[in-house]
Formats: sequence, structure tokens, C-alpha cells
Amino acid sequence: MKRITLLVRPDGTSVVEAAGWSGAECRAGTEFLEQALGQRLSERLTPEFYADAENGHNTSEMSKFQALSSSICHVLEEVRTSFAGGGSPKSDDKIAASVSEALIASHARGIDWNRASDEVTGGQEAMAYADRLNSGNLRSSASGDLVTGYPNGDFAIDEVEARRLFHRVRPPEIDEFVIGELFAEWHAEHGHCAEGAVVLSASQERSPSEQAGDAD
Amino acid sequence: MSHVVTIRTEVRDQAAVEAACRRLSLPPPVAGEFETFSQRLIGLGVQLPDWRYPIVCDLERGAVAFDDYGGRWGERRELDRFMQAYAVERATLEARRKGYTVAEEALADGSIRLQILVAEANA
Repeated sequence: MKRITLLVRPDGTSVVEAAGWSGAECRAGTEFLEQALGQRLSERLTPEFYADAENGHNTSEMSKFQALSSSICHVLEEVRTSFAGGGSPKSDDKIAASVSEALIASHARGIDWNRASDEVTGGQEAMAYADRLNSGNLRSSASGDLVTGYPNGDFAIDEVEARRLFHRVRPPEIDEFVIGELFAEWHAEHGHCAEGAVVLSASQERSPSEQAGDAD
Repeated sequence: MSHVVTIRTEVRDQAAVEAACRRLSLPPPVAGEFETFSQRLIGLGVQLPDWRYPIVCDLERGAVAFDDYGGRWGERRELDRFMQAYAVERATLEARRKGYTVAEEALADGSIRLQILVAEANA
């Protein structure tokens, strides 16, 4: 059963939490509440958000850092609120328990916190940059998938994948294709890669009859 | 849990304002023009307990205008209670409109928790 928890604080601000949803579908599931209630002040993504069982993408280290860092921030925000008089003050024991819980979770996932802050900052900057560049062609959550959904930066996007990320995708024009060839030649001449670094003929979606031909 | 969003409430729905007034045993809201000490306000007026002037909801903009003279003409806590009641009613109305089950729980720190259960067929 999918569940949404809405906590309405004494000052009228609300916190929406989604549970039981897979991956990014929780955003769509809670959108009606966000639209009904008002203006979003902040959003925190949890590890489950990055779970994408359908396409089998590995959750990157960056996304794990980001989610766990958000958990710590959430704990600190609760502490700050309690000191500001926005709720019942938390005891030292409760604060320590919350922080310990988050740290134990990070240890269980093998997180190196010495690297975490740089990773999170870099990821957030990349997300903001991607959103600025987005001219409306990116599908929802595509910038997040691109920044945090890959294990490293060495990836190529073929036509099939491009259609998952962008609304409008077309085959290359002849001049674009020629530029690609020239770039591949330059790459090879300067020894930047062993092989296959530049994909000139990206895979395309194939018709059922073509796929049936493979079986023959 | 997969994401957590914090939202600042905007008052845009008359039915939810009416429900919030019922919840807090306030007089029903009145649409019209209201004069405070320093300005004339148009919108949906709500009279909070012991407030000199009504607060006025601009449903178009989602804003609530009021003149409390820095708290001397009305306790801000009453305004917060109204905003909380509005958010609860608005969320409950919207969730039920979508066919979801809503359970409400008052917490010790004054917060109100709504548990909204989403049947798979409605997700």
C-alpha cells in the first residue's frame, strides 16, 4: 500500500513524506498535495528515491551521499526547529539517537564522509546547471537521472536511451554526422582512446520485424 | 520513504477556509471589503479570536493580509492555528476527492499528522 504522510506544523507549514513508492513516481504521487497547499520550500530525496528496479541502473555513490547527507540535514533541521520554539524541545538523548542512526546507516553503506561533502556539492551544482540549460526538452527527473543515475561520467547515450531522457529526439543531419566522423578521426589520431570512445552509429529503436529477423 | 517536501501554505480555496473556520469554531468567513487601521482590503474575511480586525484571504494570490500592529491587536498564534487548520482541511478535501483514505492524528507538539493511504488502483 502506498502511503503519504502529511505533517502540518503548528505554524501552518507542512511536510509531505511519501512511502511505498518506487523511484521517482512518488513525486507524481504527491504532486496534488503540493499544488493544493502552496509553495515548496525544500525537497529532500531519500535513498529509496534512487531505487530504480525497472531499468537496473546502479545507484551512484553520489546519490547515496546526497540521500544520506539529506538525512543528516533533516535531523539538524529538526534540532534547529526545536531550539527555535517550533515544537517540543528534543532531549540530548533523542538528538544523539537520530544522528547516530544516520551515521550507522552511512557506515553500513560504506560511505566515506571525507569525500561525501565534495560529491554532494558537485552533484547539486550539476543539477542546478542542468536545470538552467533545460529548454523544455528534458523529461521530468532526467537531469537527476543524468547527474546521479550513472555510476561514473564515462557514458554514451544512444538513441533508445535518449528517448527516455528527452521529449524530442531525431536522427543526426548529414553535417552533424560528418562532424562526428571528424571528431572520431581527431580522437583516434591523438590517441585519446583505445577504441569505441565515439559512437558514430548509435542504436536506434527497431521495428518488431527487425527484431524478429535477429531470431532467424 | 522516498522524498520529503516542505511546503509553505497558501490560502486559495474557499471551501477549505470555511472548513477551517468550522474546525476552530470561528464565525463563517465573509467575502467583501474590510477596513483596517491603515488600509482597505478585499477578499474573504475571517475573524480570529480577540483580533481587532479580520484577516483577509486573497484567494487569487494565495496571500493572507492582516493588521495586528505587531501582535498588539491580535495574537499571531491564532493566525498560525488558522493556517494549520486550513492546510489540514485543504489536504483532506483534495485527498478524498481523489478517492484516498485519510486518517488524522493530533501530536503532542501541536502538529497534526495526516496519513493518506493510496490504493494501487488510484495511484
